[in-house]
Amino acid sequence: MDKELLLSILPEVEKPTRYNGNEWNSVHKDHADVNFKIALAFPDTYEIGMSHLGIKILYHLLNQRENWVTERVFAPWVDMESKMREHHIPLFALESQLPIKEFDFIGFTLQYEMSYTNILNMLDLAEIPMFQKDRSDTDPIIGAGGPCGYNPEPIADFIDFFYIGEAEETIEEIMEFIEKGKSQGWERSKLLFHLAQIRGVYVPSLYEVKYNDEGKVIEVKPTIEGVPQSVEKQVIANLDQTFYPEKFIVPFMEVIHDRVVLEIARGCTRGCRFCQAGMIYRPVRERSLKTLKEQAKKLLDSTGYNEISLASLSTSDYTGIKRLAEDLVDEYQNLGIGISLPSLRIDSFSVGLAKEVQRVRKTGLTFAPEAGTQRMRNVINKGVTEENLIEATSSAVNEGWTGIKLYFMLGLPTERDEDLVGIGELTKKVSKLCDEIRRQNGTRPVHITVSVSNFVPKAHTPFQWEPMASLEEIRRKQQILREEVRGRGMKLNWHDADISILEGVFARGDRRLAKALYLAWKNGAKFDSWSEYFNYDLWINAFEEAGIDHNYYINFPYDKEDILPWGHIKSGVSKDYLWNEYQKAIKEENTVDCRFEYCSQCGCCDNLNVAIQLLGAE
Amino acid sequence: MLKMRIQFVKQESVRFISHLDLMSTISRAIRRAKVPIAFSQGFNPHHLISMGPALKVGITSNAEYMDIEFAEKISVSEFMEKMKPQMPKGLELVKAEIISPQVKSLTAQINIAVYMIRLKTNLEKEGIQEAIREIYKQDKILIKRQSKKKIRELDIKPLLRDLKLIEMADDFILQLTSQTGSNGNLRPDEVVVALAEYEGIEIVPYTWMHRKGLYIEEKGRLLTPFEAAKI
Repeated sequence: MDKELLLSILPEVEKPTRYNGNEWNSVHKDHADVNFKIALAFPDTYEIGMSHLGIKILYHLLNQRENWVTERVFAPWVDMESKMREHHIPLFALESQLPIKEFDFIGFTLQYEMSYTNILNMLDLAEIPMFQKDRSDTDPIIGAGGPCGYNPEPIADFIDFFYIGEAEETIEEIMEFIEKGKSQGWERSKLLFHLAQIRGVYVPSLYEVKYNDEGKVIEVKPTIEGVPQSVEKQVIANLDQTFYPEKFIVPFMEVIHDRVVLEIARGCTRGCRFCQAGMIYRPVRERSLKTLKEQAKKLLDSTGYNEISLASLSTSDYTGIKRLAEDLVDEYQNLGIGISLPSLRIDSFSVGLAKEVQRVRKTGLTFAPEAGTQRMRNVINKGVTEENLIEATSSAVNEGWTGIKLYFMLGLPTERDEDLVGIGELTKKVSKLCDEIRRQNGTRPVHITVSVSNFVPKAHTPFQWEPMASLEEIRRKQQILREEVRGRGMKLNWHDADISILEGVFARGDRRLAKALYLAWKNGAKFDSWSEYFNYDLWINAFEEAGIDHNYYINFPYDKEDILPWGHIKSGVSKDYLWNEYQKAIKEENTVDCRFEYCSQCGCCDNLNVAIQLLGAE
Repeated sequence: MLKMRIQFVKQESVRFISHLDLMSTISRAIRRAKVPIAFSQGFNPHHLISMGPALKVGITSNAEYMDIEFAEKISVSEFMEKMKPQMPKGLELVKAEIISPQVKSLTAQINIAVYMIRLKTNLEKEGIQEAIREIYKQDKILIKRQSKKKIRELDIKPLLRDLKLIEMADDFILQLTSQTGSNGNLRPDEVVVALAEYEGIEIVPYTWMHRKGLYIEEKGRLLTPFEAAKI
């Protein structure tokens, strides 16, 4: 690319370091010296993409190969996009600044549904045919993976193949295969056919979907012999011995998560019935203390960061958490290096832990009771009681915290208005108690922030069969909350109802949505997860133009016997287990965590031939 | 306590890093280099680094300075040896000297900056020189400066020390000497705007600009920050 041209554009855009690519620990290789080029794409801005752990892992894993080059590409912000279009600059990878259309493989990460229009926009900016069927043998292979890949159907028309599962397991094998196919000049169709044989690879163009008159999916099957009926999640058996980078790229600008991240464990079996991550990342596998401490040292040495985050779906559930936190504090506190715990269980143990690691400045503590009444918490299997929350918040205030954030959801299955009123009552109870304690202690007033998100039923969860609340219903429920959650020192935040509706459509949608997605993009939809860019009317017009009733996708309740649009993707957790959990939810019955009690028969370990690994306790 | 004054350059590839981001970039390089830097006291200890006058985003520089305080003794050569491999490409350390802890801060000392500006113009040499002469003839050189909320008019003549034309290959380069610091600061882009009042000088707001030097004017002499630390 014309580097002079780029340099003349950059001063005119916001945050030009987003497009720099020369950051510390970035990997630069001469393209003349390599025979395979990979672009890892995150369909959102640099500062969001650079906070994502998956890209960090894959970037350094794949760059270990000397004869491959792996670079990054993010969605350019709207100002940069318009400059690029004006000057006919195709979307380029950050390191080499070469157009990604010249790469062999582009892999998109699918973290949230509302990034789909950005994927289309990035393909368009890259001058790569947007629809899979229009691509030629010389175009890059477009892959995708991540949590949204567990229902890949809404974007199936745009992606050559999806990878289902943990990429460390098979990514190199897949890349070697594409490299071989490309070097031998295979036709695209031949390459894709052979890719479909690899474990965890789903090539949607090799499957046919049939619908009945009502519009229900009645069959999903391969169109060619030799393509598997279903695709099973790939999972690593031993997280402790799995590749983890010794270096992180250190951005020149502030990004969302600007710190060393240690992935202390993968998976969570608390069994919250709304939670997709809790189902698709099973079973729980922990890294050992020894490994984690070594990784902390290497990463701190190579980055110069002054903070370590202990990341997992539920940090305080790591069996060695106390020891790990103490050891890291002992080792690094004097060097001005802090430790952060991103997800805490609701109990005094977690508060004690937070106290242990906190640096002196006390910011807020966050707890997620998720629902306001015990009945509702039983429905979602959130094993937390009012007493737990009271205990946790009062010890937090006693330890000197003055900000408490509470996360709830609205629109959950079986929800009644009294459950919403319950959110208000619970918050008031907590608030009153916090105020009493802080008056006794003579400390500053406590601020309570209540964040209420809208429940979206997700594929591969017990609630996948359940319809979602309508737009009007969500707004009515939000109004109840506005009346109930108020008082001194209390603040209520909520999510845009219309964005949630769109999420619901794509979370449970099928292939027919491709048309609406395309039309929405064509009419200007992008950065839909940014409320300043989200335009609901534009989407409604796109659905109309495509002849799609979007409400169908959120209103439609499925039966156990129904073919689900994502049914051919297997997460390892059995359908019987999910259905049984759904029924237990309606009966307000709880299910135990297999880590601490007995096996709840989710099927994951047997189906995937893996086991729970609690190495932190050793 | 040991204090060191350090000069570094900011090249093309890193010219868009903001002043604040530059501070954390250098702080991280110091952590990687494991040099015994001192921390501030207080609730949120941070590295004792104090930077020279901020450089506008997009401008390269040969003359950026910072003062660093150390908790333990370290020689200049050991510091340079440990730091150099840890500095991102485009941010290169040039020189370091140990200075007395009593030396005033860079921002308190530095009051003169010299810039190079590439002009984009249809004029010949004589025309540009005429424009420069015209500018000097004015009693006041008024430009508009945008602060956070409002635009105000500012006379930059008192801040303009010298402006001359240098021919380099095919380019016309302006060399600007201007006042900087807390008693008034003139940026190179503002001089281009003032000159653009004259026909034929096209304003390209983001043309190549470069900070060539930062000085301390004392008794009519220009001292480098290293020289100024010795008196």
